[in-house]
Amino acid sequence: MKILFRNLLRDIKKSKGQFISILVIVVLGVTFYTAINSAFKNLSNSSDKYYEEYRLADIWVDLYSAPISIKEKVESIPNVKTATGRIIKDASIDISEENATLRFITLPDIKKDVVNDIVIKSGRYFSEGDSNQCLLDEDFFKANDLKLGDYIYPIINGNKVKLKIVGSVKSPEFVYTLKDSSEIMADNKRFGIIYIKQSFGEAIFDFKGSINNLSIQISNDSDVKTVKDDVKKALKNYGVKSVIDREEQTSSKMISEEIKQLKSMGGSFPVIFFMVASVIIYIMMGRMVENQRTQIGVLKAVGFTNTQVLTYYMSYSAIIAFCGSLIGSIIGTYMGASMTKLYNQYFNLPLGEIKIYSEFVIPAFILTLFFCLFAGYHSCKAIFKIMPSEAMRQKSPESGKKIVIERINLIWRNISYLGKIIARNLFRYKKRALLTSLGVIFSSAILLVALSMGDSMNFMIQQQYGNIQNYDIKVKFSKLMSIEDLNNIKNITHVKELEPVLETGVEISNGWKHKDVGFTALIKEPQMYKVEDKSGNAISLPQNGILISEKLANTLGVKVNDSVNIKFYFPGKEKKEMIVKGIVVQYLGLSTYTSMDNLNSLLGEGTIASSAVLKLDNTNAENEVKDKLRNMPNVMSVDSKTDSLNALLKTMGAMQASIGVYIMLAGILLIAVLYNIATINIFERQRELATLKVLGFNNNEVKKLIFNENYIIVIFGMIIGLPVGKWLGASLMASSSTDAYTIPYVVEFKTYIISIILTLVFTAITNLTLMKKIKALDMIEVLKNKE
Amino acid sequence: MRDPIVVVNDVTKEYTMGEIKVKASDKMNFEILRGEFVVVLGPSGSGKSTVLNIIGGMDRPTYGEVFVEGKSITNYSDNELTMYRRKNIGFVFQFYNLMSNLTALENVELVRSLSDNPLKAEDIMREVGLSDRISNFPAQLSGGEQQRVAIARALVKNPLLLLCDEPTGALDYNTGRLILKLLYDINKNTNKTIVVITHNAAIAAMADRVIRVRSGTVEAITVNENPEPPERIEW
Repeated sequence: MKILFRNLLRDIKKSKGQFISILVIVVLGVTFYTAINSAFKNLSNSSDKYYEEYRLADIWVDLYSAPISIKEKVESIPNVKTATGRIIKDASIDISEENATLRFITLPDIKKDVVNDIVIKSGRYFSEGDSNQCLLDEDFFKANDLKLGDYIYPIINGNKVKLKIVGSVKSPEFVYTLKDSSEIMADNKRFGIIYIKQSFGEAIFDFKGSINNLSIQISNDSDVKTVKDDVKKALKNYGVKSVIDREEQTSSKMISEEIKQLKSMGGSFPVIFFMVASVIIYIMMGRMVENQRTQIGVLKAVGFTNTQVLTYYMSYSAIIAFCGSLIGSIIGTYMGASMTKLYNQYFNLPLGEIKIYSEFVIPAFILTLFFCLFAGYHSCKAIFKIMPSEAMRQKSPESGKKIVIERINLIWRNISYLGKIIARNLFRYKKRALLTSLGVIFSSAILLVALSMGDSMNFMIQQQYGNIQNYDIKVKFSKLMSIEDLNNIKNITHVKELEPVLETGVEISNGWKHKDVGFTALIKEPQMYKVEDKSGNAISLPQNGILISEKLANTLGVKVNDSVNIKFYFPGKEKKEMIVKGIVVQYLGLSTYTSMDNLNSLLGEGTIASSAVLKLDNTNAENEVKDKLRNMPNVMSVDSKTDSLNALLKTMGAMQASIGVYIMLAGILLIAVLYNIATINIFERQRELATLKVLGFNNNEVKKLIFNENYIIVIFGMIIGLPVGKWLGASLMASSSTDAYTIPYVVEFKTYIISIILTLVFTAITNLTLMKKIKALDMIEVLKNKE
Repeated sequence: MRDPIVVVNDVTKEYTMGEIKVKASDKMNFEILRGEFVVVLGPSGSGKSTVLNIIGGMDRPTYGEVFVEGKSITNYSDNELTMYRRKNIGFVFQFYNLMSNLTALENVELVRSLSDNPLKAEDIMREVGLSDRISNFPAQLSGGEQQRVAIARALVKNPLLLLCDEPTGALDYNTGRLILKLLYDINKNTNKTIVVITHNAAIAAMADRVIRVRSGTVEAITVNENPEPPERIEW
């Protein structure tokens, strides 16, 4: 057996190209498997540790205002371990020649272990004395090139407040700094967290002895839902805006979803590669056994058993599995480390050491070995049937057969002779052609999925920022405003139109199903903040009912004309029953909509607004208007649509990069599969090809025989692969849709064209490498020998 | 007097195998006249296939020159050699080398499409006696029938030269004789120049000219005044 093994190694050496191309696919599979899984492990370990160490809250309660003493009241609720009361307020600031929003959060004047604690990255905690010290979130600090000791001037209630930066910090509460869940990407330049002294906060926000946020930690093994309900009950009279847990908190939700996605990708993606590798191994080894019939006959004749011969041939696939998982695990572990770092650029988790997880190496190896040996066995079992005497005799000639399309005379007569050879050959080796197209199907499906992700994002952005949010500027107020208050804004020069908006949180329920969602009241026929149905038509807001998004309708299990219960967090408001008047399309967030009139009749508070959207008569005046707005009383933040759109577009760059990676993978897959199968094809038909050369066909004509066969397989594969890709992309989008955003799945026509062109380019590249093999065919050598 | 269609002038072919140079042919000289039936006779390894490959434009000599119809083909580029094979040469191999995916007639038609002044494929098939088997695939034909298809394929483009490398090598005695008879008749009826390579000395009797080669050199050239028809030859 040892000498036989040496023979095998020499065989491999002779057909290096094929061996390497199978190996590449296996290596890619193992690499992805290990890399994705170790990145998953690294990130989830780090986040768990981080949350634990700095006491991330289990429950957040937003209130309008409540005395600080409610902390004790909450701490007396069973299973509540500890609670911290804070003031949280957003305010705007001019920094780096732009307008940014700062979220003010108060911390004890003297360092204490609080829920949602901070890690000091540079500088120090507040000192005694100066009240206007602040700690800035590190991302914002760095993004705006700030230094310790710098002063910043945020605008609070229309007044510029001077604050001194004494440190930069991170917190498990804002691993991912998003203003709210309607944003998809963090923009660290334009949104940051700022921590100030509790006493200072009370003073500048006019919150004497009060708080508006409670962060609660519950004891281990207790049920969050029960505690949440208890908390809601206990705080009933304090004007609770929202009560959320970790699953709903923007930052921790984003992280856990991202990590979850990583985990599911780690399972499914590598399997595609393993499948393709086994298909190639199956075809290739089947040919190997066929071509070495004589050798197998001789081995059997001299007394090797069937099992020994089978072992010999199957060790080829075992070698691939060994080498593949070895190389793959090494690359994968390194890649896992850099993938962790890459992902972490966006999460900013304090990474402990990046570990190598041997626990993924072994399953990867077993998985690889299984696929390789499975394919190997199925192609080698023919060995059992080979009789030594028969095997050493000359093989009966391959039989050509008439194929189906020959019956259609019109088509068949117009096919050239070379075309006929290709057609009959494809039909003769149907199974192989179909298996090869499997590789093409996967490859073109991956391509389409990757490219259509871009289409979908573009579509969503266009809808959201082109049709739905049709305003120039959105102003948020720090308190509810009456319509009369808004006239001041309307009177600012260049403001052409103004529409009031009321945004608040509600609990919506249908029987036992309930959900905390946003509640938006608009004027009856809004022009700047539109609500659209599925086909993109603007709908007017109902006078006696609400509109809800499709996703929310599904969550609650309600249809149009069903009634739901709405509970406002405003103090002293009871549950109201409301009719669902329509289903609307909503890409960002989960919300319910109604008209201002309806809200008025519900709450009886007159027409009130928490924000307003504006249209300008001259877009160049945007900055001028923004400045004026910021200096008005009760203005919390001023955002222009261009700001948020630009931030989103900028961060889309990351997605472009991952699309590039997918395209590369699709390319490698296609090239490896085609190269392998065509190599077998050329080897098997070298006699035919050499004969054609002798007869006077030139290299260009001879290569067509192989190349056109590749093109036919590729075109067939694309016909199936592109629809498969569309289906795959749609289900991927559906499964990645969260409460924060729903991206509609869109494939543009040009994406099909680009996918087709790219696939053909990959095919052409493969053909180019095969050209050498065809040129090298030695006519004399091939024709001299008997088969 | 017939004019020389092929002139082989001092043709030497060297192969380098590792450190050693092997001469497959060493200063071979001979002529083939138009319309002749020539047999190149020699044991295996004598260099007869080498010289046929060079005449057929599949290979180039290391030294020396080959003239076909007065033109030297020695310095032809790969493309020129392909065109030369396409226009001038009909090959018949020991192992037929038919396209397995094409029927008998399609095999002939395939090559017919390469020629500027081809013959009619059906006529050729009749000439080689295969009119009733034209739509069979090679796998459905006997060895003799396959070789007839191969001959038809070589003839259909109306080549200058028909080169046959051991055309009976894979066939039984009777079938082999029928194939030789076919070649002989073609030569007599159409005056096509035919070169047959063989190690079978008996076949030499049917040739107009016999070129005996041994160890890469031409040992003797005999001109047969009265060639015997193959049916009268036995071996």
